[in-house]
Amino acid sequence: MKNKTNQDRISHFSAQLKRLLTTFIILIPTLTLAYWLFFNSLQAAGFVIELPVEITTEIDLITRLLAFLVCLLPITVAIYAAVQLRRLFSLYQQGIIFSYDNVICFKRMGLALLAWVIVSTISDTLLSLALTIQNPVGERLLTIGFGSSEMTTLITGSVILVISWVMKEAVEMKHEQEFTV
Amino acid sequence: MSIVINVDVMLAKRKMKSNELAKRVGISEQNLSILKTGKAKAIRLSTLDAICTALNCQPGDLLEYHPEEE
Repeated sequence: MKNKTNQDRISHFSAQLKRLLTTFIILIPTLTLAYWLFFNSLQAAGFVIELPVEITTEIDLITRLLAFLVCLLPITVAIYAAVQLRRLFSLYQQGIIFSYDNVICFKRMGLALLAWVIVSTISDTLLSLALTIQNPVGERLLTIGFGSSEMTTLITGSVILVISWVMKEAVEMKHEQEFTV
Repeated sequence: MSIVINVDVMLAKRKMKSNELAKRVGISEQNLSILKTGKAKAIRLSTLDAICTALNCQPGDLLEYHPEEE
């Protein structure tokens, strides 16, 4: 049968996206740990990601582990949002589109993104401190920043939160329709 | 809710079974059960029309208003 219904398409693509998110959930903390463990070698090879402070010399293992722990803060929030998104796609895969579980997923995802903005700003400050804590007095840095990435996430989180409220209305309408004879 | 559905009473008066009414009205037995148990949130005028036709009664025979006591 070539005639795929809309539900078939939703189930199929949701399954693919669920797999993608599972990979993301596993890879992100693993890659972050690997990045900090091999930071010195990667830096020497010219692989540099943007950090709140410029690192020109090699850094010791304690500092790198401290930096990893600080990076875990926004990653944990991002993973929580990804877990909620994965749960949402799991519901879509099962054909559950308008239920209170979907609303909860949207709401938690929106709140997680808003929380990420706060946690990310704090973690950037903590990261700058962690990377320079072993420097001599007078060379330790404390930075604070709010960039386009935070702004985009703030808007995305707000949009998702509004969608969760709209979805709640939709679920209530569906419930009413189910009990209309 | 203050609205009471008296489909059961009319079914007994007409000596008709639920499944027969559902068949005549063109709704599922499950939906008729929702109506009979008072779980329904709304009733379509077309459904009401079909039930009145099948049971040969007036809407007032099926729906009754009982103000809720506070």
